[in-house]
Amino acid sequence: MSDGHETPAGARPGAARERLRFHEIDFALWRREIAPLWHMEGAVHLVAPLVNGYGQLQYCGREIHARVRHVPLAAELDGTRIAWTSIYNISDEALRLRGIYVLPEWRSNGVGRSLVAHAISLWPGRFGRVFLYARLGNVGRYRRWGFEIVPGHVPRSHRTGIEGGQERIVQMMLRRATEEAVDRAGADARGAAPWLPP
Amino acid sequence: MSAATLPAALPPPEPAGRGPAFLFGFDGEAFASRRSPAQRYWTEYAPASRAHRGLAAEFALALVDAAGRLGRMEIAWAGGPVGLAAAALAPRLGLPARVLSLSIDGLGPPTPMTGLPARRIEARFEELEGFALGFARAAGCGNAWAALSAFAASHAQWPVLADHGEVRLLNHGIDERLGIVAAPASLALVDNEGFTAIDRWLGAERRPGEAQLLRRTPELVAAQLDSPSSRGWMADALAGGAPALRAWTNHAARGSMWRRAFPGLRHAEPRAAWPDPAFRARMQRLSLRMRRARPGCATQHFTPLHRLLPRLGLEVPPGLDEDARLYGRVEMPAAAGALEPGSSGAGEEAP
Ligand SMILES: CC(C)(COP(=O)(O)OP(=O)(O)OC[C@H]1O[C@@H](n2cnc3c(N)ncnc32)[C@H](O)[C@@H]1OP(=O)(O)O)[C@@H](O)C(=O)NCCC(=O)NCCS
Repeated sequence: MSDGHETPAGARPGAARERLRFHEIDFALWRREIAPLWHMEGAVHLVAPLVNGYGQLQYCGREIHARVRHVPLAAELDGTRIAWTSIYNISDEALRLRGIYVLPEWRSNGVGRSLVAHAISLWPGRFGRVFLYARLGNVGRYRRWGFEIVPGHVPRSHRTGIEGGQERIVQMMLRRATEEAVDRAGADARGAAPWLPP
Repeated sequence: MSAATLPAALPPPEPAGRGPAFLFGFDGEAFASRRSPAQRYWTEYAPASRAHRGLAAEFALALVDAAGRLGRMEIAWAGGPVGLAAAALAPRLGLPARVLSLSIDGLGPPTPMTGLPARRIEARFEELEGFALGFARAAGCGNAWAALSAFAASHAQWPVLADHGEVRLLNHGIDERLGIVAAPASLALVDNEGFTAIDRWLGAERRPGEAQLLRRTPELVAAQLDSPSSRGWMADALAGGAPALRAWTNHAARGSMWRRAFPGLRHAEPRAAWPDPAFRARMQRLSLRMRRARPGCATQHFTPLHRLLPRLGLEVPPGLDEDARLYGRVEMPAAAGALEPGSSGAGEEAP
């Protein structure tokens, strides 16, 4: 198990036999459950639905309300939510993933990757690019998921959570049409994660 | 201010019946107040219908337009360029106006000598504080300087012209904390939610007033963005390297924009009129208290410049739409759909 977390006895997917399911969930529930990602458990109501991401959002004015579709998502195993992400369109051609969080005991089992692939698969192919900001420690992993660092972008600062702890993040992008890896991950998602041990 | 900076002949005011040049809203409601922290704040700029005539002329036109709506007006000066330029222009344009100036604990810019009748309000910081906390709760604002403008306006006895507003530009490509160019230039106009708090407060108080003179006409917005100072800022930001690092925001360019348009103006921005370090430290603490009194109202809306400039009939400099190439285009809707206005116009309190 990565990140030094112990796996609780009996919590392995292998013991579960249930398959992973993905659901769009209510934003209020989503922000409460994903808040630990930003150390915002004490100020959940301040988790905003959309963030601009240093100029990503190309919509402006009332388009922000009328044209941006914000989809908060969770992955469920045996009826228990174990991972969260959200996705929205930043233009008529591109998407942004915001927040990817897997409960510590389930990390490095392909859950994050498969949830992300599912999130992307919800959108028609004309949304050809997907952006995210990666914490530096995750860059290698997201590369394996098919993302690349956006040309000309270098690590920058990011204030995480209400207490303002700083992190370095860098913008990464996935080209949906060209990345074979995405198709593979997308197939995994659509097949409800067949790699999970039975 | 010298008469030479004024246009010789003023163009006629815009025909009545044009829609608002500037809108703000939360989700589906325009000119409303925030009802929950999950609502999305936005601002929108109407397209220009003619070429702008330069900042000084467009400012004068907007002032005439505002005066036409307000009748006699009291210019509540908080030390900023809007109130100062308005006070200087009003007598030359024959507008019925007077100046209200503010001193707090004996500090504050002296009443501008513009030939207008003037009134001076002497207040204590504690009074400003009390007002600001109520203002934060009522209007959703965590910015003590906006509260200062509103505090000045709160003393007006006539319809008020608030000394408020700025056209703030930002390059997202700069990481100002690290002091590096972190990404290719990505330029936007920034509207903090707090910038329109004074509109919500006027609405809640049912006070006739103008809080967004700088956004009163699309052509005045265009004139600010097309001013040599703003254009110079864009060129620096797009140049990358050291010029871009110095041009994270257009703070300095705004000052030079006002000085060029109105060479007689003393102050470039409201804060410069209140230089006392202890006062400024108290203002900073007050902002913090305001944010605590009303959390969740500190959001920002960005209008990408590559979308705003063409809307205002302005040329897009090369390289400006790079982020559209990266992040994708937005198809313009055939016609903007109508939004529900807030039921009482403004001032509905969020829970
Ligand atoms: C970063 C994070 C979201 C990734 O999610 P995750 O579920 O742990 O990641 P995945 O397991 O899907 O990643 C695939 C990894 O699992 C391994 N894996 C194990 N079994 C797998 C399977 N059957 N299929 C696919 N991958 C599998 C892969 O080899 C891959 O390993 P890698 O770490 O060498 O890349 C998660 O670790 C997390 O929540 N971390 C803390 C918060 C955080 O950093 N969030 C992101 C901010 S940018």
